[in-house]
Amino acid sequence: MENKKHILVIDDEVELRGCIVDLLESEGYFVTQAENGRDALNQLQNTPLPKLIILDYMMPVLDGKGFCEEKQKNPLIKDIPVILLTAATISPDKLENLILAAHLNKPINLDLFLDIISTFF
Amino acid sequence: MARRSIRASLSAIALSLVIFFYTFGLAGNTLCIKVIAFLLAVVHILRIYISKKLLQENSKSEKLWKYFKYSVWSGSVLWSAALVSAFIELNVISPHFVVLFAMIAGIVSISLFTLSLDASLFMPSQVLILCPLAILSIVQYLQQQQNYSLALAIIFLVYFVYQISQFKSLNRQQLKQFQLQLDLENSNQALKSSKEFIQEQSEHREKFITVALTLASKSLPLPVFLEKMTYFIEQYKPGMICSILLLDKEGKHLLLGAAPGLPDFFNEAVSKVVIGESVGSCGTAAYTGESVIVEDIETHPYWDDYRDLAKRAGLRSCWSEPIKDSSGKTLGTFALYQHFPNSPTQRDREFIQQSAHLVAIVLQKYNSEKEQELIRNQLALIYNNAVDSMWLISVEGKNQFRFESVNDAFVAVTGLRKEQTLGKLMEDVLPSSSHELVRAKYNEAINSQKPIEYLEVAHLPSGVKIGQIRMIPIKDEKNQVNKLLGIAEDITHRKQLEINLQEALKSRDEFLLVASHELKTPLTTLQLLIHNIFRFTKNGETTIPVDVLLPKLEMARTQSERIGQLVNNLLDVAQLHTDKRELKLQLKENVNLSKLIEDITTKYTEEYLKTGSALTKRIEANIIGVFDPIRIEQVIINLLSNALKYGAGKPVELMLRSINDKAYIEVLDKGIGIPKDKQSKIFERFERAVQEHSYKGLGLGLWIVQQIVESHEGKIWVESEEGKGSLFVVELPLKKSIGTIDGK
Repeated sequence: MENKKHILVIDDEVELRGCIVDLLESEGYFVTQAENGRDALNQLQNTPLPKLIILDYMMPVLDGKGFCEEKQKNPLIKDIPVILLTAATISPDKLENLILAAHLNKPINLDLFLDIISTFF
Repeated sequence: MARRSIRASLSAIALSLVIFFYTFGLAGNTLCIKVIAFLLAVVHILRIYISKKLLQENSKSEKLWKYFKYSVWSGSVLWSAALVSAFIELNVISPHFVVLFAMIAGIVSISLFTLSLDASLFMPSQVLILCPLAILSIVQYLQQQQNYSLALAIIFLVYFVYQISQFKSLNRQQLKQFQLQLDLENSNQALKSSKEFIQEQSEHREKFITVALTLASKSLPLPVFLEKMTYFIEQYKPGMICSILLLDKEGKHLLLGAAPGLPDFFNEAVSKVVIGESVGSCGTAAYTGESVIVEDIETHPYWDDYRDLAKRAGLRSCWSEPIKDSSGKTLGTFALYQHFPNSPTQRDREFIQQSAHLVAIVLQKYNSEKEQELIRNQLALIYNNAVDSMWLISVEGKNQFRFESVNDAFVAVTGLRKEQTLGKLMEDVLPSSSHELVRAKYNEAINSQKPIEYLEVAHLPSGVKIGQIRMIPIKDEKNQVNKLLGIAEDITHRKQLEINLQEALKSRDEFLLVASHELKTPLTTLQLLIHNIFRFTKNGETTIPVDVLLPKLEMARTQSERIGQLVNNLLDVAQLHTDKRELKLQLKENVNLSKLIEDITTKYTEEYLKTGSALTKRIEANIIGVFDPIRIEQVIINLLSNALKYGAGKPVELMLRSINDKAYIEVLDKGIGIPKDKQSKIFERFERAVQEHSYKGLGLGLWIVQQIVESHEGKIWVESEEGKGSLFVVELPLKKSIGTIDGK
């Protein structure tokens, strides 16, 4: 069943991911989660596909950048909007080729976060 | 004059012959008188003739003139004698006799006149001869009434008058000439003698100067030279005692230069005197810069205070001359003393001035040499004690650079010994890697004729050194660069420090980056949780179900604890400076290590379960010692969290046991392991065996752990194989009391 308000949260920090998931669920979204880029790509091979991806940058196995690059190669998923969420200050040149819908820094302004997400639905 | 004299001579000769024959004829019998008379006449004529001849040749000879004068006088006397004898012989004044007399008188007077220009001779000769002739003639006339006697008398008188008038007119000229000649001769003589005198004097002076300068050029020590000078001067002026005094630096006292001829007590007293007006001869001379002549010490006011001193020394006169350098500054005094009162002649004064001048020249030379040596010594001191390396290159030709000298710093910094460097070409001394740069830079300095600076990295025997080099070109008299002075500041250490600093800064920046990243995550989670809780109330619900609230609060607490731990790590970093272990332990006695670890692991077991790692523990009971429990807890937590992180999903083992008086804590995981080359590095600050962004953490953990363990005088090490897992072992001494551990 395709859920209209499906969000995929990718972050290796267990607690943080848990919090974000809780938060979004309490806002009425349907949330799936992955712990790194590889895990996320595996999940995205199955349907239903999410409508929005919340992505962390620093992750083991396959990090945020790697995930985006892989994502672009797959026509099925390349158009899913991605919000990059990161604690690290990343130099702009690293983000150059990534197609992002938004880029937010941790700690997140929650209201802003939710407002941005709501625009995608 | 010549013609006249010839004529006179001829006539004299002719007349003599006439006389000869007449005398013979007249006299008759008394042969010997006639002969004598004749001989006398002949001799006389001859004498006159000869002396005249000689005078012609050498009219300047005073002797000849004298000779001539005497011959004329004697001639006159002789002729008079002849006359008298003839008179006696004849016993009568006969006409023949008068004629004879006349002839004689004529001859004599003519010869006198022509041959002699001496006015002093003329008048007496005329009187002597012509007057008696005239008188005799008159007597003859009166006796015999012969006319011709009267005529003769008149002739004689007229002749006499004529002679005198002739003489008067001519005499003036000739007399003057003669006088002039005599004067000339006299002045020539005077000139000659003064010339000779001067010649002698200048030779004398030259000799003096030559000897003095030879003495000066021998590079004798100053006191020796001055003493030799005094001896030398005393030779030239026997009886005089020479003293040379030198002015001291302040210009107040006259110190003894040399005065070997004066008694010691005198010299000693003089050296104490302060120069000034009226302070003896030398004191005044030195003060005023003028020569001071004291002819008699006993009476001269300048010597009032020192009269007794001089008396004791037996000195009566003192002539003092100041010794001045080329700028007119007084260097000392030169004095001549004598045992009797005396004033100097002009020659003496000149001599004194000369001597003073000579001494001045030598003194100046000595002073400038001394100054030069002082400067040379100072320069050598600076050169050899300089901290920077210095060296002198002589530029022998195109690209031909030879080491002329190197200072001690050069040897110390480069490790090149002086034997290896001096006299050798640049290429034979410096490493080949430097040749190109050095050649280029030396040429640059030469061509621009200005100092140049550059940085050089040299591979020297002493190691790799980095130097800030300065090359200074030195020009010769022809304004060509013939030498290069090199100065090098060794900045190897500084550069190394710069590099270290940069690395440290880079490390720190990386650390801060990672730290901020690490802190943001739990902070975000915490914020999310809190916000989440708030949202419940927003939704209008006043109460939050406990089963919803509690887990969230639990998580919030965990996150805040995590933040707390990270902050503590940061504080530890601040506390633990670069390489110093300044970890301040709060040691407690009788800490039960077993119980401590037991408690920690219980707390952690849950954590472990979540990650899917099973934590097994084997803790020996009742291991007691002196520890800082909080810090030991930190150690355990750190090791366990590492095991958890890097060996997630795999079982982890924790062991505690004691062997003798040591405790061993072992944490074993079956995780990714640590490659051999990284095994020692993991304990370094900020070091991780893996990439930072893959595994969370500051990379501080093991470093802090090591600091804590070593502060307890313990050890920590790892045994690991890549892919198989790691075993961390902590060895801690079991102490009975605090005093035995040095917390610092």
